[in-house]
Amino acid sequence: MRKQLILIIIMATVTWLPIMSITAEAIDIQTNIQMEPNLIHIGAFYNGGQVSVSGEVPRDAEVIIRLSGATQDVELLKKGRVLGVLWMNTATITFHDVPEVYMLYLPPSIPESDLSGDHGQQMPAIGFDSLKNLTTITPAGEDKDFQFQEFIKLKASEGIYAVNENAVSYRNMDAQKKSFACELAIPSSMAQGVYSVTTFILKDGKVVKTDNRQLKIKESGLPAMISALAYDHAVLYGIIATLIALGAGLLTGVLFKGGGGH
Amino acid sequence: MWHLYLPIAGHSISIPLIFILGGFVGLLSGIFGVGGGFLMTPLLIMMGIPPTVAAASDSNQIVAASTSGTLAHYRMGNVDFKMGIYLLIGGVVGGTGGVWIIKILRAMGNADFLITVTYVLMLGFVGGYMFLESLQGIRSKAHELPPVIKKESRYARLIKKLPGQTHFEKSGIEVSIFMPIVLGGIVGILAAIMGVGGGFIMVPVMVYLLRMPMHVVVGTSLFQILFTCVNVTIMQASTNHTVDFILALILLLGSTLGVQLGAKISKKLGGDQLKILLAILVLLVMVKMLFSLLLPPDILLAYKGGH
Repeated sequence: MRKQLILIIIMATVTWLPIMSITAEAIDIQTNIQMEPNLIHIGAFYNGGQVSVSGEVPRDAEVIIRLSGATQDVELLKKGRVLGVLWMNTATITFHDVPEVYMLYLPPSIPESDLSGDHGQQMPAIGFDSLKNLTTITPAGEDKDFQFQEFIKLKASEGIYAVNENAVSYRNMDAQKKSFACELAIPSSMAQGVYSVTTFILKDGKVVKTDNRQLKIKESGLPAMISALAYDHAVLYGIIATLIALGAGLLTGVLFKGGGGH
Repeated sequence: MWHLYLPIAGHSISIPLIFILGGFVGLLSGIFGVGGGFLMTPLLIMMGIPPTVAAASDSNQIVAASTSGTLAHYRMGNVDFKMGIYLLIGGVVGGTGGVWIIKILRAMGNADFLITVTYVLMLGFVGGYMFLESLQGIRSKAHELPPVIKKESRYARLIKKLPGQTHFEKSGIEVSIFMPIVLGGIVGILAAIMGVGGGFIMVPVMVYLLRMPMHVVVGTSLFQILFTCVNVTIMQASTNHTVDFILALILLLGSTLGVQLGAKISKKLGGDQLKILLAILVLLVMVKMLFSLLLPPDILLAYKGGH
């Protein structure tokens, strides 16, 4: 009976210990994370932006940053071989609940392969492989591994899905702390909207703290005006666009009158 | 400062690059009387513009280029307005019919395969025929051979028998008014099915089936393209919100200039030279399409829409 009681106490301690330690560390860690700016304006001459994320972490900690957008369903055309020789669009394929944007920024010591979710509880499951596991594809009979790999290629070609290795840099401050810094390059293809910037602080391969911030991208000035006209007064917009094109064509025709003649 | 943000495409773009692209495609329009969508749309897609936005914004800029080009050709006396209007009537009816046909074909399945193969074969046939025919024309002129007086073909005799014979002064021909309406209709159907403007099909149709002189063909084709693209721009803007006016504006600044220069070049070239150059262009487009069909693509997924 006494032996059983001791065993129960040991089991309970072993089970609760990691959770207690994460909680304890989570409270202890002071990160002082800064994100600058948290609002990007898309003006007439906008060509992408830059966001800096920085802060302080314990000297033995690692930092991973994730920039992600809202999830959505994406319907795409699948290319395949017809008659064994011609590459053509053969069917449609839908990727469900995939993030609009997904970019990871890693420190030099962590490669993307560590984030696949295959390392038990050690690393956060935020790599492309883990994203694949969260995604469903219809029709269901598709080769998920292959199609998801093609999906990543397509999104990467637009600059909105990326794994940036060696992107988080550190600088030692004292025996206990170091500072980290990361520049997030925002491509112009990221539409206006609200995105999430998550900073994962890891110690001994485990996430001990996460920090979530909102990054807003908003059209202003001329782009905002044109978008509003195009979506809210579509017919008028179409007519104005046509009239301006007609006017420009006539104007050039008139300007070239002297040289074009009989 | 050298980039502009395109609010509908959701992408920024280099101003000089788009200006030069507009100028180049405008030049081709002015020389050959084609809209140039076959070239412009894939190039815009390569620059990261979504396919549907690329095609619709291109239509918007063609409005400017074809206005400028029609005006330039009109001054040279190369626009047959009467013929253009009949072709247009047929084109509008055919285009509407084509949209329905494509829906039925898609519902039957495998339509894309059928369309692409027909497109490639047609480009190959039209380009090849035009190339050989104009080569023969250039050769016979070079050797100062007397023009071969051909026996009137069965086709020529047949079209002379059609009712409603009308004289088209600018083109210097007499054909039934049903000819341009029916041919315009067929081109309209094909253009709607293939998702292209139709200049490429319309120009050879005018040359070989209506037997119009090459220079009048170029001007009249541009006149007709102008109306088609006005219609497409307003329809696309109002139903699909795919017209990016900023993109169209930079393109048209280049293309309206290019088309004026093209019209001058067109005037300087002989009919056979024009035909052989257009034939080479048509064959190049065919070869490009054939390669894209035969070579495995880098990415086996694509967004919907575009040409």
